[in-house]
Amino acid sequence: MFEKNRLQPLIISLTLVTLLCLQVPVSAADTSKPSARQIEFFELHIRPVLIEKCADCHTGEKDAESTLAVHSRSALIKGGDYGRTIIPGKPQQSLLYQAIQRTHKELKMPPDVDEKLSTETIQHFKRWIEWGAPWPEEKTKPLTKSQPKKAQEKKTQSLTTSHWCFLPRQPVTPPEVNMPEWSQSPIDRFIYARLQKEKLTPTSLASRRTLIRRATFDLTGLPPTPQEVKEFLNDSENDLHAFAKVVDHLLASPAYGERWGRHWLDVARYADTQGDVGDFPIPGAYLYRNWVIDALNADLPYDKFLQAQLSGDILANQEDDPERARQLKIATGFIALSRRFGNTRFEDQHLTIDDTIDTIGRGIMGVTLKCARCHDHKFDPMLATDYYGLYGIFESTLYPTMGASNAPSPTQLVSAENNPDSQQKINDYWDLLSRYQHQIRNHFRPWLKPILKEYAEVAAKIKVANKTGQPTEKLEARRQKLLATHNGKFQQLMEHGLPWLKQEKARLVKQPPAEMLYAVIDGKPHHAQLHRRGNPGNKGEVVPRQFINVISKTKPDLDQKKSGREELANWITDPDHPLTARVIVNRLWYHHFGQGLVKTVDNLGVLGDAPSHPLLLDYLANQLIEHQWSLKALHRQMMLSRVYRLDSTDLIENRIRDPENVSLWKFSRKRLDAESLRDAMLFVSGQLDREPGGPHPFKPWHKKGYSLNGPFHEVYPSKKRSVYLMTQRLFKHPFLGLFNGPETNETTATRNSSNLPTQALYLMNSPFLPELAEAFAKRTLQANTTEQKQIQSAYQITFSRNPTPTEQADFSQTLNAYRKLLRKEFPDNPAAVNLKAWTGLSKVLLTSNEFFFID
Amino acid sequence: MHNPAFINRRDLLQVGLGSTAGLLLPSALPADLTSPHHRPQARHVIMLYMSGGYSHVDTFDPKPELTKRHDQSIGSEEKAAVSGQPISKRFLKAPLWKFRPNQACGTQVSDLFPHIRKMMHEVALIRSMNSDHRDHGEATLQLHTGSTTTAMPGIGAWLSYGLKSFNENLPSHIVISEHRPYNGPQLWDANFLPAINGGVQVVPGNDPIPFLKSPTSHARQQLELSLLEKMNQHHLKQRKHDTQLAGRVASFTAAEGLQQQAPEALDLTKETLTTLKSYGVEQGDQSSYAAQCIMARRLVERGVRFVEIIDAVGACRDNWDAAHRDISSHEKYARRVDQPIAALMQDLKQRGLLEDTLLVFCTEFGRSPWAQDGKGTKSRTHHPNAYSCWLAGGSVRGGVVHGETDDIGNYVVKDLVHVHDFHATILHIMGLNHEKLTYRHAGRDFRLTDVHGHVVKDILTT
Repeated sequence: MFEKNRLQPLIISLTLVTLLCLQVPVSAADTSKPSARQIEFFELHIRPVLIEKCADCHTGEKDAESTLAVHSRSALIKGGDYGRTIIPGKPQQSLLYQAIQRTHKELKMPPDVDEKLSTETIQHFKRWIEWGAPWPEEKTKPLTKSQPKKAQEKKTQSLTTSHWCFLPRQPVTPPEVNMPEWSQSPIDRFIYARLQKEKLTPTSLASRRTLIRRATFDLTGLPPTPQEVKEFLNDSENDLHAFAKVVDHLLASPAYGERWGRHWLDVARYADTQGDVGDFPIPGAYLYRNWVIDALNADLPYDKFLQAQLSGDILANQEDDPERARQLKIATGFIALSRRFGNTRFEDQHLTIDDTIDTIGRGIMGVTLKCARCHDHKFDPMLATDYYGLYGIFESTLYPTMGASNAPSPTQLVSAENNPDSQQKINDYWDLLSRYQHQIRNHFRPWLKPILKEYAEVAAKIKVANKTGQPTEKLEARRQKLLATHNGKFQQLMEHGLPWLKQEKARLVKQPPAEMLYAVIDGKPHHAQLHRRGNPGNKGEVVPRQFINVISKTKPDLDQKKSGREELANWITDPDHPLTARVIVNRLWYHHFGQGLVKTVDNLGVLGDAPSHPLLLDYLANQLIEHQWSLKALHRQMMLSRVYRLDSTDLIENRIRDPENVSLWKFSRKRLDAESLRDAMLFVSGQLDREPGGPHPFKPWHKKGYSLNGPFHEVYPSKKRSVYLMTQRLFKHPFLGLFNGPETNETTATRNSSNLPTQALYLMNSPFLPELAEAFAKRTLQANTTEQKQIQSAYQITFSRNPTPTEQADFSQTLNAYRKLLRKEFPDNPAAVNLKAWTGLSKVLLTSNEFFFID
Repeated sequence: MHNPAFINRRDLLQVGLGSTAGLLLPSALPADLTSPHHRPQARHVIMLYMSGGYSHVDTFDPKPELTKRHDQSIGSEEKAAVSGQPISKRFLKAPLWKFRPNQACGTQVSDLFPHIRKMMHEVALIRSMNSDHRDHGEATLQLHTGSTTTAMPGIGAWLSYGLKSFNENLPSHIVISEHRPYNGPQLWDANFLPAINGGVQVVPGNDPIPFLKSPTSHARQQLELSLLEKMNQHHLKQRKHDTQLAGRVASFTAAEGLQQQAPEALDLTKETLTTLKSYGVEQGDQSSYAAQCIMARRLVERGVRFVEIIDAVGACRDNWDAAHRDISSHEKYARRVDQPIAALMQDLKQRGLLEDTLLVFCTEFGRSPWAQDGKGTKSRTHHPNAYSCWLAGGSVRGGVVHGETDDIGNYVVKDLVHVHDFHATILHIMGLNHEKLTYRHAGRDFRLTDVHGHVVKDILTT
C-alpha cells in the first residue's frame, strides 16, 4: 500500500547497473556453452528451488501478481516489473541474488521470512550467476508448477460466487407463527420463528415511559419533554396505536433529519476540512450537510437520494428550475468531500479516488471494493479490473479543491448556475488567480532572484535603447526568454511587479463570476490504466470503465461524452441490484436495534458476518422497493414491530444461550452516541439552540493559507445541535472526539461506545458541565416552589420519570450536606449556596448512567 | 469490524481491575496483564522523536569524503527535494562538526552529541534507515503509523493494544508534546483500534493533562461522586450483568485514580538534586526537554507502556528542519537533548530499568549530503533515502553499528532498514510478532507494518 517513491532510488540504481553491464563483456558469459558439471549443478541446486519457491507466483502469466517468469534463462534475464532479474556473471548486481539475500530494499524473496532460503542455497545461486547462469538448452519449456493452475482455479471459482450478498433477492413470505401477539407485524413473524427455533422466550413489552424515551432518542437524538411523556402515558388508545402516533410525530419533526442526516454523514465521511497537510477548510461543505438533512426530512426516496449524490451535476443539466439544479449539484458533495492528501493540490489523487470508491463500496454497497486496488479481491468476487473500471469513472470526474499548502487558492469549483458559460468563467477566474497567487507567494525565492534582477536590468536597457534609438532586437529576445523561464509562470511579476499583482488579486477576489460550489462535474471521459500492486507509478493495461462484473449482467454501455457516473448511479439504484437495498435496510436496523441483521454493516462480503435473519433482511429490502424507497416507511415498519418495543431486561437463561442477543429476545441497551449526549445535555439544560446551522466563520481563502507547520485548527463554540458543529479531519472536536464521535477520515458504519477514564475525567472537571448544570439548576429552581417539586421536576426532565421515595431522600440529603459545606465558603449568601448545591447535583444527574444509556 | 463485546471486555479489563494504586515496578507486575506473542525483551518504550529530520552526515554517520570533496558537483537532483520546488544542482557539503569515537566501542558520533557519544556502548546505531517520503508530514506519519498518507493507528496505540497497561490508573500510551507536531494528534490517535489505546497528550507545564484538576473543592467533588456512585449502583442493580454499565462506573474510579496519580507522576519536586543535576534540570523546572526526560522515566517506573517525547519546538517552526536554513542551527537543538538523553540512559541503568526499557531515538528522514541552495550554501534538504536512528535498552546489543551508506551518505549500500523493518523490530523486542499483531477493520486485518517489515535481528542479543 505504501509504495510511493520507494521505486525512485531503485530505478536509478538499476539504470546504473545496466550501464555498467554494457561496459563489461557480459556476452562471454552469455554465449559460452555450459559445462556438464554446471548443468548438473543447475539441475541439482537451482532448478528445484526455482520450481519449489518461485514458480507458483512468477508464472509470467497475464494475471499473475508479477510479470516475471522463471521458466527460462531468457525470461529471468528479461525480468519483470523491476527490470532484469539476473545479470550473468554479476551476482551482486542481480536482482534475484539481492532479493534472496534479502538485501534489496523492495524485494525480499520468498516474501514470507520463514521461507527464507538457506545460506547454502543462496551461495549456490551466487556461484551459478557467477558462472553466467548456465541453463540447459531447451525451447522455453515451462517449469512444472508445484500446484498447477492454482491461480486460475481460484479466479474462476470466485467469479461464479455463491456468496449470498451478490445473489439476487427472492420474493419472501413471512413465516406463520402461532402466537397472536407475534403475528401482527411481518417483522415479528421472522423474529419469533427464530426465537421459537432457538427455544428462547422473549422479554415482555417495555413500559410506555421507556418506549417514548427510546423512540425519541432514536429518531431525533434528543430526550422527550416531560409534556410529551405525559401525553403518551395518558393516551387512552391501545399501546400500539398510541405509540404509532408518537412515531409519526417524531418522523415529522425536523430533528429527525438532523439525527438521521448525521448517520448518513458518517457514511459519507463528512468533514468541513479536506484532510491535506494544512487541513484546508471547505466553506461550502455545510451546503451538502444541510442538503442531506433536508433530503431525509423530505423523505426523498433513497434511490433518488443516491442518484443526486453520485450524479447530481449531470441530472442538473436536465433540470429547468435553477434552485433544484443547484441543489442537485450540491448533493455531489458526497464525492467532492473525498479526502485530500499532501502539500499540493491533487497530490496522490489516486488515494482521493480510492476514498470515493471505498465510500461507494462500503458505504452504499457494503463491499470492500478497496481491497481490489492492489490485486484481485482475495475473498470476494471482485477483480482489480472492477476497481479500475470504477476508477476510470472518477478519473473522468473533476474534483474541486480549496487549495493546498503549496498553492493556497481554490480551483475546479462548480458553478451554481446551470449554464456552461458560467462554468468556463469560473475556470478562467481560478486559473488567473492561481497564477497571480503563485507569483506573489514565490517572489522572494532565492532561485528566482537572479532572473528578476536580470529582467529588471534588461527592461531598463531596452528603455534606454528606445530613448537613444539604439537597436533592441537582441535585448528584446533576451527579455522574452526571461519571461518564458519557469514555464512563464512569473511573467506578470517581471512585467508589472509585485504591487500590481497584489492589487489585481484583491480586485479579482472581490468579483467572483458566480456562486461556486464544492461539488464535482465531468472532466474529459477516458478509461483508466490499472495500477499494478496499487502503485500509480506502475501502470498496467487500460481497463474500460465498468461496474462490478459479477453483479452486472452486461457490460455497461457508457456515454462516451460523460464520466459514466449517471449510469453508475442508475446501476446502483436498480431495484434488482443485490446490494443497495439490503445495505440500507441493514443500516437502519443497526441504528434502531444497536446491531445489524448483518453485524458487519459495511461488509456483507465473504469476510463479513452472516445475516442473523437472512429472509427478514430480504423481505425488508423488497418492502423498501415496494414503498418506492421510502426510508420513513421503513422506520415506521421497524419501530411498530413488537421486537422493537421489547423491554431491555435481562433473562438469565437467555443470556447464557444468546449473550449477544443475536436472536433479539430483548431490546439491547445502548449508550447514547457523542452527538446525542451533547445535544441532550444542552437540551435538558434549556441551552440548546434549535436553529439549523449555516456556514462556519472560516477566514476567507485569500486571507489565510494553511500548511504542515500551520494547519487549520479551530473549534467554533456553538450551542447548536452537534450535527452542525464544524468537524475537521486532522483534529477531532474536543467533546465529540472524546465520546467516540464521527470518524471523518473514512466511511464509518458503526460507532464504538467505550467508557474511558478520560471521558469520566472530562465529565468531572471540564467547564462544560458546570455551565450546563448551572443553567439546569436555575431552570429547575425557577419553575418550582418546593424542594420536593424541584427534585421531581429534575428527574422528569433528565430521566422522564419521578424519583422513588428513596431517591428523593438521597437527593435531599446530599443537597443538605452540600449546602452545609458551602455555607462555610459563602456564609452570607444563602441563594448562591442553594444554586451552587443544585449545580453540583445537576451535574450528577447529567453524568449518570441513567442519562447516558437508553433502555 | 469492531466487536463491541470485545471492546467492552478490554475496556473493562483496563479500568475495572480495582484501584491497586501505587508504584508498580516492572519486576512486581502480574504476568497475566500482558499478552505478548513471545518472551518480551523489554516492557516499556521511550520514543525520543526529533522532529524535522536531523542530518545523519552531521551526527551519526561520518563521511570524511564530504570534507574532502566539499563544494564538488554531483549533478542535478532526480526530483525536487520539496514537492513543488524547482530541481537544483547539487554540490557536496562538508559536515560542520568533527566526529570522534566512543572510547569503549569505537562508534563514531559528531561533536553535536558529546554526552550521547559517551553512551554509544549501550546503543545499536542503525545507519541504513530509509523511508518513503520526502515531505515532513508524510514521513512523520510513516515513522509513527507506517503509512505516508491514510490515517492509521500509531505505534504507541498498537503497542498499547497488544500489551495493555501495567497500571490501570495511568494510560498505557502517553505522548509528551509541548507543541503541536506535524500531523497533530493523528500520530497518537487510536484510529480504528479501541479508543483506550489512543495516546494521552501531556503538555508539560501548569496544565499537563486536560481536566485533571477538579473545578470545585475536593469535599464537594467527593459529595458529587458519592451521589453519582449511589445512583449508578441503584441503576445497575436493576440491570445486572450489563458490563457496559459496570464499565462506566469503573471508569469514574479510574478517573479519580488518574486525577490523583498523574500529577504525582509528572511532578519533579521529589527528585533528588543529584538526579536533577545529571539531567541538567534547574530546581522548579517542570517543562524543559530534560524535565520531560525525567517525566518519561517516572511514567515508565509507574507502569506506562509507551512514552513518546516529541521535540517539536515552536510547533515545528523551530525544529531540526534545516531546509533553506543554516545547518549550524543543529547545534541548538542538539544541546537541548544531548545531556538529558544521555542522563536518562544512565538513570534508567542505575535503577535497573534499562534492561526493561527500549529507548528509540529517531527522526523522520535525514538530510542531503549536498547543500540545498547551491554551491557553498548553508542548508541541507530532506533526505529519506538514508538516515540514522538508534535503539538502546531491552535486549538491544550495545556498541554496534548496523547498515552502511555510500561514501557520501546518499544511499544505503548495506542492510537497509526501512521504517517498516524498524517498526517490526520494536514490536519484536516488546514481545510482539508484527505479522500477528492485527486488527480486523474495513474488511481486512490491518497491521502496523502493512504487508512489509523484517525484524533486524543483528542488533539484538537474543
